Amino acid sequence: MIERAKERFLAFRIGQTAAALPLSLVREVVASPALIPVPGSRTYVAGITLHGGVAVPAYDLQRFDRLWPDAGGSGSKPGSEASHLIVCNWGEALIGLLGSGIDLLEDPEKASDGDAVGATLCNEYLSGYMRRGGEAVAVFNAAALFPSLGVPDLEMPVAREDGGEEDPSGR
Amino acid sequence: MAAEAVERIIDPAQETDFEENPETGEATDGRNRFPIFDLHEAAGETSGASCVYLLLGCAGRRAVIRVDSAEAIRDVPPSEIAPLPAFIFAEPKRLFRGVFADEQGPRLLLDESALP
Repeated sequence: MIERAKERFLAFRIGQTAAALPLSLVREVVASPALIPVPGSRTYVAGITLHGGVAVPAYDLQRFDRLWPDAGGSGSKPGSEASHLIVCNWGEALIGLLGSGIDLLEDPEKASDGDAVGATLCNEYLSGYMRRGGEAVAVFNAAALFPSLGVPDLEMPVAREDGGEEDPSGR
Repeated sequence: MAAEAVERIIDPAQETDFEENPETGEATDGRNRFPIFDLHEAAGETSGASCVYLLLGCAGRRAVIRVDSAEAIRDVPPSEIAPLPAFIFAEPKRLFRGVFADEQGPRLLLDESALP
C-alpha cells in the first residue's frame, strides 16, 4: 500500500488510533503547547498557539468527523487530550496536528491489505498503512487531509489578514 | 482589543442606571441605548456569572460588549501581533484579527470593526 518504504515517518496517536506523517513535512514537535481557543473557528480547530511569532492553528483530528466515517456526526468525539503539537510545513502556512505518543517510525514494514481491516479512519485521507510491531499505522496523505481541513492547497497563496491587510493590529 | 476603542468600562454593580434588556439585545444607561454583543454567545458558550461591559465608540457608532472581566495590559507593538490564518474560520466574517504573546500565554486581539 505504501510504495516508499524507506521514507521516514513521524508516528503518533490520535486517541487510540496509530497514525503517521512523512517526516519531511514535520517542522517541529511542541510539548504541552499553550493553546487559546478562537471563537468562530472550525469545530476541529482546538486553538491557536504562537510559534516563532507565527500563529499556528492546532487541529484536533478527533473532532474532524469526516476522518471517522463510523463515528457519527461532527463533535461526536470528545476533544483530544493530546500532549503534543506536531507543527507541519505546508506552503507558506504552519499547520499543527495534536497527537500523543510521538515516535520516529524508521524502516517500517509495508502493510498488506489485510492490515487495514478494522481500521476506523477514512481511506480518502490516507496514503496507506505501515506495520510497526503487530500494529497497523495509518499514514496520512497531507495533500488530501490538509485541504479538507480548510487549509489552502499548496498552489494557492495563503489569504492574509482580512484579504490583504498588512497590519493585523489595525493601527 | 485596542484600548482606544473603549470609551468606558461599565460595572453594572456600580452603575445602577445601566440596564441590560435581554429581550431587545440592548442596554440603556438612562440616556442612551446601545446594542449589546456577547462574545460567549457568539462562541456558542454560556455566559459567565459575573460580567462587565465595554462601551465602544468606533466607526461612528457605539455598542456594548459583555465580557467576564477587563484589564489594561501593556502596549503591544504591531510587530508582535501575528495575524490569524483566515482558513481556520468557519465563516468569512470573524471577530478576531490577531494573536500576541502575553504573560498568561497567547491572547487574541478582537476586531471591533467586525462586531455586528
